[in-house]
Amino acid sequence: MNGMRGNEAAVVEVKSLLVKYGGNPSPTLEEVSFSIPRGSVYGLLGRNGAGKSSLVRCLLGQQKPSSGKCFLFGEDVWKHRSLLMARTGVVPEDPDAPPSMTARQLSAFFSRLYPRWNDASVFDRLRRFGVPPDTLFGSLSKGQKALVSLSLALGSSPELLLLDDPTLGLDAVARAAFFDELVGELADRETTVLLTSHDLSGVEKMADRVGMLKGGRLVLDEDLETLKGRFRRLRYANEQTEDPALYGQELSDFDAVKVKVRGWGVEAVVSNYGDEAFARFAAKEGVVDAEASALSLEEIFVAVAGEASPGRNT
Amino acid sequence: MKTTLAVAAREIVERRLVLLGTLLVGLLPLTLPFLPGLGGAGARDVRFVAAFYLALTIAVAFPIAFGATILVSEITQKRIAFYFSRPLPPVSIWAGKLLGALFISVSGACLAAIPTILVDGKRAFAAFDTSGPATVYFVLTTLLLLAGAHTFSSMVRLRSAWIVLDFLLAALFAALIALSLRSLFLAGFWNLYEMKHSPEWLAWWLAAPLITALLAASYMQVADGRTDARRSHGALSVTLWGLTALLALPLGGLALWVNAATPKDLVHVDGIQAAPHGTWVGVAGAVRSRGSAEASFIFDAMSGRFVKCPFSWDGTVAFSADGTRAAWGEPRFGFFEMKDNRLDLFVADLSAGRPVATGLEPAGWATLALSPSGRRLASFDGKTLAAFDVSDAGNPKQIAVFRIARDLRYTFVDEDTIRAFPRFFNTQVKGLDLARLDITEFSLSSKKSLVTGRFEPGTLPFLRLSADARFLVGTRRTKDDPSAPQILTLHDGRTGAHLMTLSEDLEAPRVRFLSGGRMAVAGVADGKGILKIFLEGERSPARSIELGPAAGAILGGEVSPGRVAVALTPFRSNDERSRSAWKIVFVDTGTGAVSAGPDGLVPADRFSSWFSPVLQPAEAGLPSSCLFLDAERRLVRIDPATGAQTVLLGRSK
Amino acid sequence: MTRGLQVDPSDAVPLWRQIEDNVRRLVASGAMKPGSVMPSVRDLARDLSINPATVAKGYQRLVDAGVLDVKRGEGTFVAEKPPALARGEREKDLEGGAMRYASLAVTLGATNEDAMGRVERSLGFLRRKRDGGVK
Repeated sequence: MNGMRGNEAAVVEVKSLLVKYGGNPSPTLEEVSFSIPRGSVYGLLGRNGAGKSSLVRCLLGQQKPSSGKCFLFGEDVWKHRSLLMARTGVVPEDPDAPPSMTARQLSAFFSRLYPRWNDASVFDRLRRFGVPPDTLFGSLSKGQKALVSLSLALGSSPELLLLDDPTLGLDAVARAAFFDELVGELADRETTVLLTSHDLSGVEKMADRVGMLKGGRLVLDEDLETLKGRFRRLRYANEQTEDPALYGQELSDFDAVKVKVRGWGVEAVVSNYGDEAFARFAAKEGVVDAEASALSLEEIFVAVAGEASPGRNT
Repeated sequence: MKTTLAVAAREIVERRLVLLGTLLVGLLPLTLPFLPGLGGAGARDVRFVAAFYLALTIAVAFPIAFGATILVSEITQKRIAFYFSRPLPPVSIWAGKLLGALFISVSGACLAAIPTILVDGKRAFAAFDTSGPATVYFVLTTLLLLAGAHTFSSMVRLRSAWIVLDFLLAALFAALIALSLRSLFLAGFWNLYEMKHSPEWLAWWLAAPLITALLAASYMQVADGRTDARRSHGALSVTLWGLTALLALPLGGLALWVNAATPKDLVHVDGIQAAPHGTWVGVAGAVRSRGSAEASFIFDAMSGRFVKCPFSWDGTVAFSADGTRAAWGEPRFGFFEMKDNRLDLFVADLSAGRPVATGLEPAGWATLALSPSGRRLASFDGKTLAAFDVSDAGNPKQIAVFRIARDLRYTFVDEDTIRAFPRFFNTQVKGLDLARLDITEFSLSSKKSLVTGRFEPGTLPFLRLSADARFLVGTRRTKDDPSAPQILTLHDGRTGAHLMTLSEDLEAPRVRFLSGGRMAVAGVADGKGILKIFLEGERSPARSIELGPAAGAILGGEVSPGRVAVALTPFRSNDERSRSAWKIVFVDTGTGAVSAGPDGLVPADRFSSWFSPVLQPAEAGLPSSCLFLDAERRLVRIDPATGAQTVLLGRSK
Repeated sequence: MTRGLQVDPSDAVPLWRQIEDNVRRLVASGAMKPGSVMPSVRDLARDLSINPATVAKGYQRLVDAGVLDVKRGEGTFVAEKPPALARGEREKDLEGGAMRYASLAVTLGATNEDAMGRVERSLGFLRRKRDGGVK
């Protein structure tokens, strides 16, 4: 791969991204590289301040990275933003449409910007969502705004859909409607999706690959299936020693992400689980009542990213 | 283009209520005549004036308000991403928003005037200048306000550290540009008269690059800054200050260049004034590659050394009789205009070179004279004749002040005495107060004045004074026809008493005091150049020499003792054609022998003392008598021994 | 129809395998009759709120295994004939399933008798349901 063009097979490709802000000694993003193949749904996770917003802005060609490059469809997005945006639909974290325009006016405006614009599809979706097309955008509820944004993002039949925490603050009905529409879109057209969300169960259902930002670095970039396959929570009692300081030594065959000593024994999250390794572990001397349970994406996230669950990013 | 218009249309539609509002506000002027005292016959005028000021207010307020908010607010509120996540090239975002704001601002002002126009019909247009250029200015001014408000608002509201640099550079460049402009303006770099009689061209000359720089900066801000407020501000600042530097530094360089002119840069010499002794001359003229700027210097014709005396326009340099000191006044300027109409007086020891400010500040029209030694300086402003001791030029001491209520030409007779002569262009007016023709001496030590004589009515005492001030030459016309022969008379320099008639038959006669007490008079009679020589004390010419066919003769100085130069021309007028037709002849005043000199030259100081209000006694045998101007008005020195010509100043075209 | 196809996204078992296993279980138990129509990928994905590609992957594996049949232009159906797996593949599948269950049983500390008893009860349940034609 040369530096001028990205991998043409990847719809999104990020190469050694570095974002620094003046006056801030530690970079906001550092050595971030990943790619999203065509048709893939990529879930991007990260806690507040992990650098998600900067990454999204770089990906959309709205911000110039300090170094490194972002490619969409193999083209440098900073250089070819305008052309690449014709193939990309964006649902921003904060709805940014002018509040004084109605959905109908917005659709008419976009029809003059995009080479192919499907006005009818926008109104079909709005009708399905039950969002009035002639209400000022600024007067809509948060959920309605997200649904209008999605309808508009899909109006250009994009090859890439970037959803930046689109369901944040939405009620269950709006969230269901949002995902329902997204599933339909994915089924009809093999749209590539980059989804960032605080709603990890949603990501868990939709994504086939996830990336996780922590402190500006991409600490995870992996197929969801293998990720979930290698993480387990182990619970066992230890009869070998009374000294809590020595607890966990028996886990040496595993990469323990987190070890907690409870009253009844030890609870650990391991990131390289395997059935046979576990059978050997359970048979170890002193390990009693060992059991392994699967982790949800949220639990993996908490184990990797830190204590708090992901909320709004910056 | 299509997307640009889409963005512009969106901006306009979003603000359609503003336009409707201006139309409604435009109804206000129609209601004013219903107020008590404003109705009646003047109702129409009330409407016009109100509509005009309403439109003007909107024309100024709208661009400032929209310039400060469109784009900047969207960047600070992070709503600008709405445009950047669409297939919109930056030029469409930038130009679309600019066009939208421009349209609303311009049409807002127009809409406010519409109701008045509807009521009063076409005549209401009289209140508005709707000519083509005025419309262009209106739109350009709106653009300037928009871009200016946007830029200022960006700097203040984007809240990045660039603002420190912005204000520093703004102050620096504003000072640099203002000082450069002032310097160029005062040096006469722009000929405002030629600039269509109007300095507004200069304003547009400056506004055009300013608008360009502001627009380019805002474009780069959008194109390169995008949604990143800090980068946005950076792109704006770098572009704006980069372009400003591109404009300001050459402008500053130009100002330095224009003011760094030396005598060598003189294209030609327009004014020249020779010191009564020595080799220094005051010269002024246009300088090479510096617009219409002119410069003046006191220049040593022998060594080429010079002292710059800026802004001394009409060659009013006063020299001491020994030619070692000079004094001149520089008009004092405020920022762009002459301030208080005062001069700052400078005195220079010419050999030392550096002018010394005396701190004296006579009125702008004051005339100056230096005493024979140059240690005393007199200035006359039309009411007061003041004398100072300027031995220490930086610390002058006032010696005497005389109040005089008439116009004078004056000179130092000696260190203590100033002699004043009447100054008239016509003494033949009826009912003339004869006291105004008095010749007066002012004694600096006794601080008293003494009337020593009176000039004859009908004679113009403004030709020449002998070096010792004993003799004065006057002229009188025989007919009211400038080409008719004039009567040239010699008078006692102190009493004004008529001593003798020098010439009655010569057209345009000129006179010179020569060495050894002799005098020369040159003129034209019967189509021939004539030179008459008078010996000291003799009442009739010792010699009258025919110089050959000529329509005009100009008497030069004594190029070497006893030898004078006369320039002859076959033309009466002094135009381009005649300049190259001048022929110099040298006349030996002892033998009357005439020898041909170079062609195309004319004595350089032919006009000095003609117009000067200060009578500079003409020393015989001046080295500056060897200075001539050629057809291209270059200053040429002729070696009297060999006849070799050296071009001292001025450049060949 | 899709009620029995519910999946648990938080489970360690991949969603496509959950779908595959569920369909196999429903077919094996007779809850899905041979020749009956399957929900489309799109409908099932919408019902489950999951990525259609995941559903498609599960369906594809079932079609490859002969559990489901795709009739072009008509949709996806439960196969008329039970799949006749190649000998090796059948062995492998059975071995793998047994190993997965055995691991679970060991992990949860079940005795051999307990584990074996549960397998027998499950087999009995499925065969009864299938033969009894209970929906």
